[in-house]
Parts: sequence; C-alpha cells; structure tokens
Amino acid sequence: MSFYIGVFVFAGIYGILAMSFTLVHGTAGMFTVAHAVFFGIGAYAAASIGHGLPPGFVLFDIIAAVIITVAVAVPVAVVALRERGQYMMLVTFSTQIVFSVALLNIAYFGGEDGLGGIQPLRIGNLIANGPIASLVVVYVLLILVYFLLRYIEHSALGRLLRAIREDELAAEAFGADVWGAKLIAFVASAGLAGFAGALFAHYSGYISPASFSFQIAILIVTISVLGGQYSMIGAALGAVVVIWMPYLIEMVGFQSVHVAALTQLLYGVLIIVILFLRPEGLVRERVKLYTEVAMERRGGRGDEPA
Amino acid sequence: MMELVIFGLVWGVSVSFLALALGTTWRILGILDFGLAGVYAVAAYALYTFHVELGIPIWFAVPLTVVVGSILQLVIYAVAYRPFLIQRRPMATLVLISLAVLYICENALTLFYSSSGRMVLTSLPFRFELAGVSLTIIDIANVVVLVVIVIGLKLMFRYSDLGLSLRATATNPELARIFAVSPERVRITVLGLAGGLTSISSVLLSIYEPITPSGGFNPLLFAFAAIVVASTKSGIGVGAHVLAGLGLGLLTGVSLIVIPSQWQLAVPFAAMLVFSLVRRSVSTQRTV
Repeated sequence: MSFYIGVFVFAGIYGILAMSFTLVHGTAGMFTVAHAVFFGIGAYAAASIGHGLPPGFVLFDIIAAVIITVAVAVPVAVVALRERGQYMMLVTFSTQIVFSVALLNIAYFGGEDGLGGIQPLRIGNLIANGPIASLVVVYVLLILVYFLLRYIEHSALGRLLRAIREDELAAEAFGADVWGAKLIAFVASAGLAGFAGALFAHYSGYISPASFSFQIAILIVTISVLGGQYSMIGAALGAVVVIWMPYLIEMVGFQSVHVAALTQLLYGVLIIVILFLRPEGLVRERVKLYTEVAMERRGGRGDEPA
Repeated sequence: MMELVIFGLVWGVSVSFLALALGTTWRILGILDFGLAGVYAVAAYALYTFHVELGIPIWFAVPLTVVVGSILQLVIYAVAYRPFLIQRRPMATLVLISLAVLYICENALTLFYSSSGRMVLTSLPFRFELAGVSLTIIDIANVVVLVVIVIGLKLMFRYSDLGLSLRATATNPELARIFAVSPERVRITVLGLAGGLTSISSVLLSIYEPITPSGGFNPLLFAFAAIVVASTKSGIGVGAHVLAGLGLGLLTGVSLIVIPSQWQLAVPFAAMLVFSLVRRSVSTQRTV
C-alpha cells in the first residue's frame, strides 16, 4: 500500500513541476525544454546545502534551492529570450544537454552515481518521511502552488502573457513590456521547478543525473500535452496519469523488462492521438474574457462592460 | 593526433548528412524534426537485419537501407505529420509530434531487438596505411559519397525545376503556393530526401560502431548544433550544413587532446551557445 501512496507522492511533485511548465509554455507560449535543468538544480542544491545542516532545517535548504535555481534561470532566460519559437527551443535544448553532461562528470555532484542520504521532508519537529505524511505535505503544497499560479494567470501579468502567446508583435505594439513579462514568467516558472526538485530530493532521499535528463524534459512535455497545455489542473491531472502509466502497464501483466519501452512507446502514440483529437489536452483552458473581468469589477451583471 | 583527426572526419561526415537532412526540413518546411533520430536508428537496424540476419551483401544492403529510410520517413509523414500540416497547426505542435515519432521508433526497436548493442561489421575491410595513418576503403568512400551528394544536391537546388520550387518554398511558402508550387510535392520531396540522407548518415557510422535503439540521439544533437552554426548562412545552405557538420566533428575529435572524452557532448553545444549569441537572423536574400 505504501508503495502506491509513494507513486501518488511522486505524481504530486511532478504535478508541481508540470504546472510550472504550463506557466511558461501554456500561458506565455514559450517552448522550452530546459525544465528538467531547473528541476535538477533545485534537487542538487537542496541535497548539497541540506547535507551540511542539522536536522530541522529542511525548509531553509528548500528556500535556498529556489533562490539558487532563480539565480541560474536569469542568465539562461536572458540568452533564451533573445530568440523566438524553435530557435528558443534550441537554446534551451542546448542548456539541457550541457547540464546533463556536467552532472554526469562533476565529482562534487556524485557523477553517474548521484547523491544519497538526503534528509527526509521535515518542517520543525514534523517529519514527513512516512508515506501518508509526505502525501499530505506534497498535496497541500501542490494546492498552494495551484492557487499561486491561478492568481498569476488572472492578474494583469497573466493576461499580458496570454496576449504575448497569441500575438507577441501586437502586444508589443500596444506598448506592453513584453520582454519583462516573459522574463518574469520564465524565472518564476524555473523557481517553481526548482522547488519541485527540492521536494523530489527530500522525498526520494537519493538523486542521480538520470532523474534530470532530456528524457525527463520530454516527460514534462508529455504530461503537459496529455493533461492540458493551457490548464494548471490539466497539468496536475496529466502528471498523475503519466506517472501511473508504467505501473498500470505492469499490472496488466507485461514483463517488467518491457515496461519502460512499452510505456514510452505509449507516450509517443498518446501525444500524436491527443494532439490530433483533442489538441488542448484532457482539461481545456478557462479564459476570462474582458467582459467577464469587467463585470466582476462592477460586481454586477450585463453584457456590456463598464 | 592524425587518428583523432580521422575520427573527427568520420564523425563529421555522418553528422553532415544528418545536418543536411535536419537543415533542409527546417528551412523548407519549418519543422525541427527530432523524429530523424528515430529514422536513423531504424536505418541502422535495417542494415543489421539485411546484412547480418538475411545475409545480403553489404554493397547491396546499404542502398536498400537508404531506400527503406526514405520510405519510412514518407510513411511517418503520411501518418503523423500530414494531418497536422494540412490543418496548419503551429510549428510547436509539429515539434511535439516529431518527439513522439522519436519515442515510438526507439522503443519499438528496443522491444524487437533489446537495448544491447549489435555490430553490423565485425572487421573493416581493405585496411591500408597512408602517411603513417591506418585507413580503410570505407573512410575514403565516406568522403567520396559526401562530395558526390553535396554536388548533386547543389546542382538539383540550383538548376532543376524541383530545386527552384524547394527554394521558393523556403523563401516564402505562401508566395510559392500562389505561383502554383504544390505544397504536397514539396513536402514529399523534402521528407523523402531527409529520410535518405539520414539513412546514409546512419549507415556510415553503423559500419564503425555498435548500433543501439537510442543511437540516433547523439548524432542528432551534433546535427542540431550544426544547423545553428549553419544558420549564419542564408538560403538552404547545403554547403554551410556540410561545413558546419565537418567542423563540429573535427572540433570534437581534436578537442579530445585537451578535453576528456566524457565531456565530448558538451563541445558542440558550447559552440552552439556561442553561435546563438553572435548569430544574426537569416537574411531575406537567399542563395543555395
């Protein structure tokens, strides 16, 4: 039973990661494949900093991990945001490859073997190393992140990001600070990915470069496509479906040696089928129109804005 | 030193073909086709099946593999890309589809052949020494094939009606359509060509190294770096892609003198990041 609860915990962590990806990809329309990098920086920073701290300081190293991730994300964003579309994807792709190679070869980070003995999740005297406690902590955090991102989506910044996604030149023509908005979205999204990475490190107790490779970057994209490229709830739902898929395939009775290949084959088929039949994914984006926003502000009803 | 140069050249020739395939698809159709790494892997296993399992002589198995690669890419186009291209979906969607194609090819090969490496040739034929360097006839053939194909492509793009259609589409797809250039004909030509070039790239390296289902990924990474480096040149850039591929291959080979082999993959991407920082946008004046 605790094994299956553990799978749900990982699904929750990937849900936070996928929602952070939705902010940059779904809301702002930037196609990046570097999210596994920020996920990895958060995880390695939390593991490295936490190693030298006494028990009870997990919250401190999670915060430090987010700050470090943001600090790395800023220069990456400055380079990546010089480009648009597929060129931007290439820049983030190269960042991902350089990061993967560096992780494999830097002895401080444990090389291919990774880092072990990471402290369990702990806030003050509350230790969340049991499956149920971890499940509660991770899903409470998932809900908090959801509301934070929902707030951003419905703010002026969120509306500007969607405008940029629909037509960047038009948004620029209206005098909006397009570059600034994209920078904030990219860096905030990276910070949340780093937060998910720190949770991942503390829950799993062991991290290695395989957990932050290009395959994981594609896993994040798969979660987003399946759940809903423009929806935060869709991203969280997609994470549950995708993380559970290999276990479901194993339950059906396939040999364990074939499960990994079969799962990834299925991911590929599902991406094509979902993008063809339901391009917006399982959950559609709910966009408030100007008229609805205006009505809310007026606190009244009617077809015409104030 | 000379051994590393030869290694870099062999690697560079293979990367050049893949960069040509990737670059042509990108510049004419606008798709960054990750799926080519899948076609590369399938081509390697097709060569293995023809030569090792069916006993077909290598001189016949190689062209057969190139034909299989072209047909496979056209099948992928018909099943996966065409429905989205017809609906004029965003290019990001097509990149996602190409990633899915890569996943499907690699994992289907893993299920059929397992993930362990296999050798197509156990020893390289016709080995000889030139200026103290050990070479095989295949090293020479690699360079000859590259030169012949580059000249052929240059002539095709410059002088044939088909080449003109492709260049027109690369410059302005909408205008090309108005002037009665068939988008379907352009897509079939470009993707068939890309499948063939990818298979040649795969065959050239499969003769030297063990093949694996994920073996197309590293060459694809180098090809990505090559097309970014080549993007400083306008037009379809046949020569630019080949030079970038050869340059990156040589750089990677020679850099082994000072950089440990485990950092090898970072070399083209460091070059790519530098080029993306200094790159100017592709100019509107296009040449082949």
